[in-house]
Amino acid sequence: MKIKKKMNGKRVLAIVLITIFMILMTISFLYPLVYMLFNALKTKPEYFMDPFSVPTHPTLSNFQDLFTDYDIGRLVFNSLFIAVVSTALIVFTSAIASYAFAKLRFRGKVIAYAALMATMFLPGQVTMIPKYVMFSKMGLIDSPWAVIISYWAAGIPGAVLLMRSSFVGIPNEVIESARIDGAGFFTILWKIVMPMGMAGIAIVIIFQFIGAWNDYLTPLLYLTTASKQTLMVVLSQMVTRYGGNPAKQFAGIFLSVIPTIVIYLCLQKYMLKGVTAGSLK
Amino acid sequence: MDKNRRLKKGALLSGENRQGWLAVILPLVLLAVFDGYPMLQGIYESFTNWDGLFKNDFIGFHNYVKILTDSDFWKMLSNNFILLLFLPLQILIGLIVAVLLYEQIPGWRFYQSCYYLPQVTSALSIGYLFAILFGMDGPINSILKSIGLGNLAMNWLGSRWPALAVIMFCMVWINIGWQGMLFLGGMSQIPTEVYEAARLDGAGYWARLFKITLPMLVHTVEYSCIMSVIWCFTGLFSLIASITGGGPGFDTTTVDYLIYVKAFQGTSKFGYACALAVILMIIVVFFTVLQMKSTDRADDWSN
Repeated sequence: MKIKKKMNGKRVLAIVLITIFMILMTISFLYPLVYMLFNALKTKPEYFMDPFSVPTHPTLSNFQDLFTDYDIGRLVFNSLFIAVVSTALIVFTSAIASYAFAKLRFRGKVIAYAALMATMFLPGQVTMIPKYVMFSKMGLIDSPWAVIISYWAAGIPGAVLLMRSSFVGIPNEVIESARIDGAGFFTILWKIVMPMGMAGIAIVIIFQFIGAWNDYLTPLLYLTTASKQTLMVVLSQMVTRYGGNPAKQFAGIFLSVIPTIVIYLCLQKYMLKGVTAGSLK
Repeated sequence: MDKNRRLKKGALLSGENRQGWLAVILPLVLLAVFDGYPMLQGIYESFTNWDGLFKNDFIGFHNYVKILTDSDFWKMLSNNFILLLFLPLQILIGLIVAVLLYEQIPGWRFYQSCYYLPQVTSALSIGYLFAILFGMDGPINSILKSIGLGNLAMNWLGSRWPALAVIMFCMVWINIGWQGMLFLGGMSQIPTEVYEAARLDGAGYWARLFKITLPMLVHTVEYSCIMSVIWCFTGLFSLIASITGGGPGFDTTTVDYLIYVKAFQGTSKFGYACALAVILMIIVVFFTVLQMKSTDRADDWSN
């Protein structure tokens, strides 16, 4: 990717200037996190005395209060359940369809693919209200399944776009020879296509999971009982409830962002590759 | 689409036809049930006084007339367009970031992964964070006061323009890493020989940047414009909800936020909200088609 650079004075100066700029930018992205954590570890008076200081007597009391006021374990479980199940459904249905779109020949394929992709540009607002009424007629309001089905349908086009492009590169000879050996559709998909297209699948899994975890509007619409809420919906209640106490608010916000940030730190190698996947063609 | 296929035609074909359709039928049915049908119903209901319970009478263009003659609607639509100004900022900063990251200075991977952080964080959490930071007693005002700019300290979220500026700033902050990554990806597609040749012809750094790099990034700019415009018109709900809640009054309410308010906060004006959604859809489709038309992007996506 890189042209060899001579290390002369000009280059060194450039590196120094660029580094300064990069570090300033980095601070703008990392400091808010640090700031949140520091203040979440303070008491209310300590926060109002100096919101920028390092906590002198770090305390977990804000977090403890959070856990007594809310059933955090339950909320995390709800969020996790919705994110995991919807991601799994998206991955399996999209993998099957992507394999067909990438490697099978059937009449009307181009139209079917175009129809699928077109839904990506459909604003969710247009379907929001009819879908809400549909789910309430199906008796699924206040059920995690309304949220899961919603994510399932919404996630498929993007997942197919990514998976198809990573399945297309699999050599036809491999698939053909497996077929001659008598392997059926699912054997080929499971044993050859999915392992070889893992790069695309991994990206879909990570982005769908994070998207589902972070979403606010869908669970806000469909879930009404407190014990069924997700963490994001309850975060909005926390922020209102702790209105006068930013230290506690910070604890809540910090708690809500940590899971996805940890996932990102562990899997960023795959993720950063996925960012450009849609734009390079 | 089939250009790199080498499977033999013949006996397989009919079985393959059936197999292919079986494989794609579930996604198609799901999308027909949960996107296609609700969309058609939404369009139909936009001509009714639907409230989800008792009323569902056809009232023609009444909702549309009511919306389009309502000055509040135009103000909210203008909010969407004002917030769209985040896009040039995002592209400019994203470009600077990408060009500098391309130099691969020590630690560039670390910097890059930090810039991408807001993309994996929920917009709701980011919004609440910004709301606290820009609050009346928030740290931004404390900093301004402590560096002698106390007269600039203000109730940022208490009036329309500063609040919109905060939301816009937040949007840029969220998207810089994404935009930078896209540009960097685009730049890595440029063959190094092109640079090598230009260098041999005596082109300096800036000449290479403006004559080679930028023109080659046109496609990336198009892609990010399409995605960002869609985001700005349909994806701001969590951010608006958490930073300003659409307030003060309806001063920072965008059309997509208004749809939620009309349908689910107190009044169940489903028909009216559907009409708003249809207008929003027309705007988004118009912009998307316009941008794709101008670049033949649609072709690229279907391969």
